[in-house]
Amino acid sequence: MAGIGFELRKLLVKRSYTGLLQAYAYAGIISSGPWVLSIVGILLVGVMSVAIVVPNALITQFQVTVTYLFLCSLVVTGTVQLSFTRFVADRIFAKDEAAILPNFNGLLFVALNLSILLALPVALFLFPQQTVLYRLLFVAGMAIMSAIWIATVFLTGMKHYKAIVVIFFLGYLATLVFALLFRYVYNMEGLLLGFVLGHFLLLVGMIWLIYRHHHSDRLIAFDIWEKGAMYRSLMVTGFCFNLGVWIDKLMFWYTPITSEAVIGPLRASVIYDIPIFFAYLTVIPGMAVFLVRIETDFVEYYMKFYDAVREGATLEFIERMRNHMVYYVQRGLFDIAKIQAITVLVVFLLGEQFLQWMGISTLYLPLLFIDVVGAGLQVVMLGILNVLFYLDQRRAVVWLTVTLLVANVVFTAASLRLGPAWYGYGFALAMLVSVLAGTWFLSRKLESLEYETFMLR
Amino acid sequence: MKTLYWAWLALIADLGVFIGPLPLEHSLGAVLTVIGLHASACAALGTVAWLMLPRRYRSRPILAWLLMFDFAFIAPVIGALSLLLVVHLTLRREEDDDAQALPRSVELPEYNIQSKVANRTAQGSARARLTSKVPDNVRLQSLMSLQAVSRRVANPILEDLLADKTDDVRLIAFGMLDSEEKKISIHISRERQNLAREMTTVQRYDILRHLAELHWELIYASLAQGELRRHILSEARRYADEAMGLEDVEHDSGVLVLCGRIRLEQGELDGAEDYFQEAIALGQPEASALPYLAEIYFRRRDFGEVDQIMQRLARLHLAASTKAVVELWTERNMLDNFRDRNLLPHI
Amino acid sequence: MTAISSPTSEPALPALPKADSVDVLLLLEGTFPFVSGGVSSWVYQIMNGFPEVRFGALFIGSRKEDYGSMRYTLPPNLVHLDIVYLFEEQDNPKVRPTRAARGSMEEVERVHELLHNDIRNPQCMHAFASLFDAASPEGKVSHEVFLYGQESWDYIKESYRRYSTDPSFVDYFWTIRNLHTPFWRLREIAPRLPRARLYHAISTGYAGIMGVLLKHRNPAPFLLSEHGIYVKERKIDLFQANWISDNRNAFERDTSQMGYYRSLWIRFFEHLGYLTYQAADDIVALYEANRQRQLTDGAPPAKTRNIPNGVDIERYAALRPLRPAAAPPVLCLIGRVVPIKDIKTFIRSMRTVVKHMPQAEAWIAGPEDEDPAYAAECRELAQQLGLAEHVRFLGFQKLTELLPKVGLVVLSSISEGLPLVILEGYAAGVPTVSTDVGSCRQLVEGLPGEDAALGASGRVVRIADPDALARAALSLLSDEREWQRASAAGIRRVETYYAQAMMFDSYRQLYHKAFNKEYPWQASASS
Repeated sequence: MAGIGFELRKLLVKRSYTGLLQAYAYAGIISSGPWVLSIVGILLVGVMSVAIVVPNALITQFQVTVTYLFLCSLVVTGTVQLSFTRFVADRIFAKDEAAILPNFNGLLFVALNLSILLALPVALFLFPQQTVLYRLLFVAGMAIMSAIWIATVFLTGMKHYKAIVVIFFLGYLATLVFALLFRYVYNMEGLLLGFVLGHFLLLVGMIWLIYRHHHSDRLIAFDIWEKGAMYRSLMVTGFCFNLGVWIDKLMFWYTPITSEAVIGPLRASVIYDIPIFFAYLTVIPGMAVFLVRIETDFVEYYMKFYDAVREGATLEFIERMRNHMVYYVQRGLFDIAKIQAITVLVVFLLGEQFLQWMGISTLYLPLLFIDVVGAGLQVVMLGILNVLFYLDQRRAVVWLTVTLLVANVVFTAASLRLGPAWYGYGFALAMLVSVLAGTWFLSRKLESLEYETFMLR
Repeated sequence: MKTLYWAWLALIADLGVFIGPLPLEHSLGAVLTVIGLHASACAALGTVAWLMLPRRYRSRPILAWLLMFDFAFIAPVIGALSLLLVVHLTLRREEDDDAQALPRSVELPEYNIQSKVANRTAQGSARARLTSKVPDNVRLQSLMSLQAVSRRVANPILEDLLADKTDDVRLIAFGMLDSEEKKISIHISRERQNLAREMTTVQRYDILRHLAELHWELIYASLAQGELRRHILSEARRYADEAMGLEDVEHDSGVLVLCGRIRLEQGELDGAEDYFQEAIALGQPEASALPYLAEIYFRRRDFGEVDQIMQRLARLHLAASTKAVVELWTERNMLDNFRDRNLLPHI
Repeated sequence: MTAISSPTSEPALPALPKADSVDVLLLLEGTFPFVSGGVSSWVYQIMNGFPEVRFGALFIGSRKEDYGSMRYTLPPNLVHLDIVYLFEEQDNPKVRPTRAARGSMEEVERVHELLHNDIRNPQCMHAFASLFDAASPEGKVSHEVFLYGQESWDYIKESYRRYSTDPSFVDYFWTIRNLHTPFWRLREIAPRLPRARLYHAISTGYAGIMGVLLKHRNPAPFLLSEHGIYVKERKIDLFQANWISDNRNAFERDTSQMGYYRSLWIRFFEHLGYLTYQAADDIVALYEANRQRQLTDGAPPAKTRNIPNGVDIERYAALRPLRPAAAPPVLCLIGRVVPIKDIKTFIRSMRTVVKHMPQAEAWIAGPEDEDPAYAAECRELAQQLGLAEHVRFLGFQKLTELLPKVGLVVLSSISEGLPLVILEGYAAGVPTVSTDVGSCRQLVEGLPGEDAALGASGRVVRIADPDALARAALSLLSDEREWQRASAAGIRRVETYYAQAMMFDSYRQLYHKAFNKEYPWQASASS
């Protein structure tokens, strides 16, 4: 009679637990994958040009220029890489895929113009000794590299791993061919021209791939800059991570006793750079394991976990899936650590012969050893970050990358002060601290995963 | 194509800038000159590229133009052209994709044939568990279980419960019947609205037939009694007859069976018999039409005919409940299939 | 339930009256002043009947958009009105991990344990009330503790393992959350309410449990008047609700077993009802069958009594001479056009009525805005049955103008309490054909004894039986003498047993008893 007619059904579904379950973010970070490839490419260009480009200092100039282009473009685009990936994932989740392509173009637009505007004054005023061609290529290179990172992020976000590898391979082949071709005409500038043209082809290839898979009625849009479309935490993370892994190098480059001027304002540190570049090559097996373990086993149970939550499985099943997830996180990280440990052992055994074979002084050996350890830890760090991204722990990731940046600055400064015997320890120690912090955080989050999934969303 | 002409000119100029001696100069003046020349060439190239964009991409002209310009700028000579190439290549591809979109196949639903033999004992016990001597909470549970029973069986039970002493039982029974009735009524009212529209004869036939079937469904599920039932039957008949009256439409045996059943329900045995006979002649499976004929003869007390039909039915593959009736008449396998007696709880 | 027998108004929500203290605080769930209908009319009638008493009221609603503007002008002696919406989308407290205060979860567990296994324990209601009182921001079980607390999470998990027979944890989790949310909404408003000398709830459910809380906080007598049986109505809703999920698979499902969430919700309302009955000092039913039902649901017999509704006889008696000598062939259903009134059966019955009495008309007098879809279905049904000429939808009508023109008051409802329209019809000399629901048989045939000796003042038929309804109506309308007999019996019955003055007397007695009482609740709570 007191017919209140409470329509209880209307309050039934406010089920907004995890918001979205799309795997997203690690695209930005795994762009270090292509980055490893580029190190190989540049080293190859250098090695194969030794006889032709004279003097050899010019090759160093080329390599240092390219390194700076990488660094700058990564740090500049780092701020938007992760948040853009998240934006794309959100759009896909909202079944609004038509918004993806115009926003990709919009971001590309911003990245291109920003890079050009940043690089142009540098090119105009800081390289008085260099040719017009070099300065122009510097600007173009910077813009192209930025665009490439954006496209890479996008493609990894869409999980086109195979296409990325193929395109990068072709792009670097073109870079190599062009560089070797143009070095006869323009010497160092020739190498750079080849690099720029090769990378441009790489960029065009990626854009072609993207346009092929995504359609839209609009060419360009800037929804991503609207309030709330991007996560500030992800911008901070992207910036801190990229700067965090480069800051020790920068510090070595601009500390007078460890460095020398190479070209214009660009400096390099011979004692520091060579070992660390070789060390980065040793992460390849770790990266492979990481990709397989996390992307297959972990993601499988990650999906099952959230499906179980959403589709009404029993608590026991949900907990079992959680346990499987935890197991595969542990196992994945452990496997990465294991494979990196083996790599380190191999380097310890064969490092000396390798350096001799490369014609590099064995004085670098201790530094190489510690850099290999540091690079290995960096892969573990990537793995942890990736899992945290899957769990949508944005705040944790910010703290972790800030930790990385600060630790790297502090420990590298300490190592510079302590003297050559300690070089490299700063980087390795910073990675170790971050990995330990990450592991602690991750285990805590996994422990209370259901609690947070249900209660704190 | 004047624009293309300009593009080629700009391209050659750009090429000239880079092949010429200027790029190897070192002075700031030379840098600015080269950048200026390159930028102008890029402006021209960007414009052309922009003009060649599909119309729908030109909505934000300045931004789109600037994007083209950027591409021309970052890669001397080849930049803008590559981008354009990509846009056009992928556009053609897009159209192809649409043309070749494959139809998706839909999985057939699966039926469990075993379940066709309903467990009639449950019905009996449901009815028993619903008598007023049983505690109310048990009765409510039993009421819930009626949801799993066919409407034709459940509805009369529910109908009885409308007079129950307990409010809860009465109201839930009412609610179940009412929602059942509502489902059909919604269809009826929609089809009645459709009927008012302009349409082809075939469409009209379909709607009339559907209306007749829906009205019949109300009767079959015993959702109407008394005067209302008579009214609904006459409506069903009206629609069915109107459908039968349409020319240029193929009448299948199903409508004839429906006409027959309506008349049988109304007690017009002769009319009904004609329809069933005609339906059989038109190919209605005997297994489904003969039982009605048997009912007609039975009601006329013409047991000889009934027996004959039962003999005919005995040779067919029948539903379990019909089979039991036939076996009873033909006295076959009475002892072997004694357990089938439970299919005929009313005997 | 009756149609509105009081003026409707459509102004924007005026500023609500506020007072620090009142004599009687009415706890109204989904009725006065935002919903029209029998209960609301009754509340309005009571307030007007006691102009010397200062009333306060708390309206408890589901969500704001479910209600329109006020349907009644507020009487001057309603000095306080508060509104709470239990299911309004409302921001929860800010998400942050929370720890419950030490010992609070033990209390939560104790209360749940009592409710589960030992609800008849006299401590149960007091334990519940003090836990309910702790559901405040400063209390031990703040909303944050419930929503975000690690301990509450652990308790939910444990309860799921112990009790749930439905596999889906996520459904369990959200059912528990939805089930409990109203407590914090109600607790939040409690301190804002004025002090009262008597709490008067018009139903159990949320209104009743609010009474339990208020009585715990500010001891004063607690009176419960039930028009229907709230728990029963919720139960019927829930039995038929299709929003409740049932995740048992084909092997786990037994159709004769109710789904777990359905039974959980039902038990929830049963418990609310039981606790309210324990806390109430007096429990009023409209008629005996309802009182029996209250006893079954746990009301202590000594507290219960019947007070039937009453009508203002003089007002309607004046209408009797206005009617033409012969009863008009008009069957009138007075009430809101909503499913519970089963207007469709009334319309269907007209097929039969019209067949025998072609000049007969069916009038449906009542607002259609509460369930427009249902109203549309009714109109469509009249069309389908070819009755468009005979069925008239009149919208809201003034009873004093309507009653002289009708020959029969028809009630086809599937559920009723003690419907005022029947009594109002009687007072105006119009007999009734009603379905056998609520107290209708008592109203038509009389209680055994003197009442029954007055004779039948109409007919009672089964629900949802158009044929029977039509036959009953025809038997009165086509037989002048029968009709007159029924009309006379109705007038005598309403004058003897259902006069408004009698109802007011009963309530005056209850109110005065409460006003003059030193209240001992606290003593028993602390024992």
